[in-house]
Amino acid sequence: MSGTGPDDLDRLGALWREGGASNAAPLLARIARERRKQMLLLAAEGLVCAGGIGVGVWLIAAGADAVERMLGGLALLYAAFGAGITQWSRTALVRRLVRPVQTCVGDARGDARLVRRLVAGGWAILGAAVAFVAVVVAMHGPSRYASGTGLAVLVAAVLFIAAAAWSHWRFARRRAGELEGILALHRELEGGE
Amino acid sequence: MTEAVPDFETALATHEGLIRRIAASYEADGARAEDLAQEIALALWRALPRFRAESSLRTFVARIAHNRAVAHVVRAMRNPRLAELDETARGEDAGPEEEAMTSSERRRLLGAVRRLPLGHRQVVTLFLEGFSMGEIAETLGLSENNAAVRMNRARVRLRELLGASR
Repeated sequence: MSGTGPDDLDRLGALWREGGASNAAPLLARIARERRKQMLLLAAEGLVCAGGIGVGVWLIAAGADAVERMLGGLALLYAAFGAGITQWSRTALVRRLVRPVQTCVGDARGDARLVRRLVAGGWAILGAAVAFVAVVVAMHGPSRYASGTGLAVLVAAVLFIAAAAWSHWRFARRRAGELEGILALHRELEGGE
Repeated sequence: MTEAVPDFETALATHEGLIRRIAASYEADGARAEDLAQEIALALWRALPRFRAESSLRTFVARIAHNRAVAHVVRAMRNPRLAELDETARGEDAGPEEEAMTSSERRRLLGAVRRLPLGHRQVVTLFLEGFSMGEIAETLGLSENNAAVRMNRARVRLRELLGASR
């Protein structure tokens, strides 16, 4: 290979641009798969959110006393929090994608702080909900939740908490992990430059 | 510069080579480079509605490609088994972009580019794609002066790497 020095970068550029075989089929197939997956995920998240709102409203309306109605309020709060966090996460992801590379890393630093707080806040609300269910059951006695409306209240609350926990865990694992990784890379880049 | 927002298929068809070459510069393993190219295409599909024609579509695509590739490097760092920086790992599972690079010159160039530090690799890949220094600065979020300094350092390193592999 004669003249491999990068002083003839124009020639190297022409050589470089000859690479990259054109085969759009796998790319388009992946997009189609991802579209379907996203629709399913959106439906699942929508169900969790709608379920939370449904459980919340129902408990507020049908709760036996103020304590059960508060449990409904907590479910509503977490559903709203979950919907907000999911939407914010999607927007932030796309915003980072289209920003200049250096700025994107800078953005990730700010986002990582917010994500850490959101994740902590989410787990705190979820923990409070679990504790609250335990307190409600203890206060009213197990017989209230053994059958009828009481059992329905308990099952709805447990199902919602489980679905919300799954959704939140998914968010925490993917987003927080990704952002922490970008920051680690940033530190390495700064050290290496 | 104004440019109408193209549909995804058109944008992909126009810039597929750019996407595949950037993916190949970040990932030595052919199958994983193909996977990265797919992830970049997916990211482009997600982000295309945000294209405001404030820059050229090519710059927009390059930004997304590099940002997505950085996330790929992050994953590789978190999982050492996926060490993408192993530029010697040209296995038999070469993907389409690797298959096309049959000439030893191109292979050597790609190998040398992969061995550059990440910051240098970013400016070099864009330069080789024919981006002006202004476009490189815009894509990476650097000042034009900073991009030029980085390019000069990268050029020296690339010369050493190409010389060493001769």
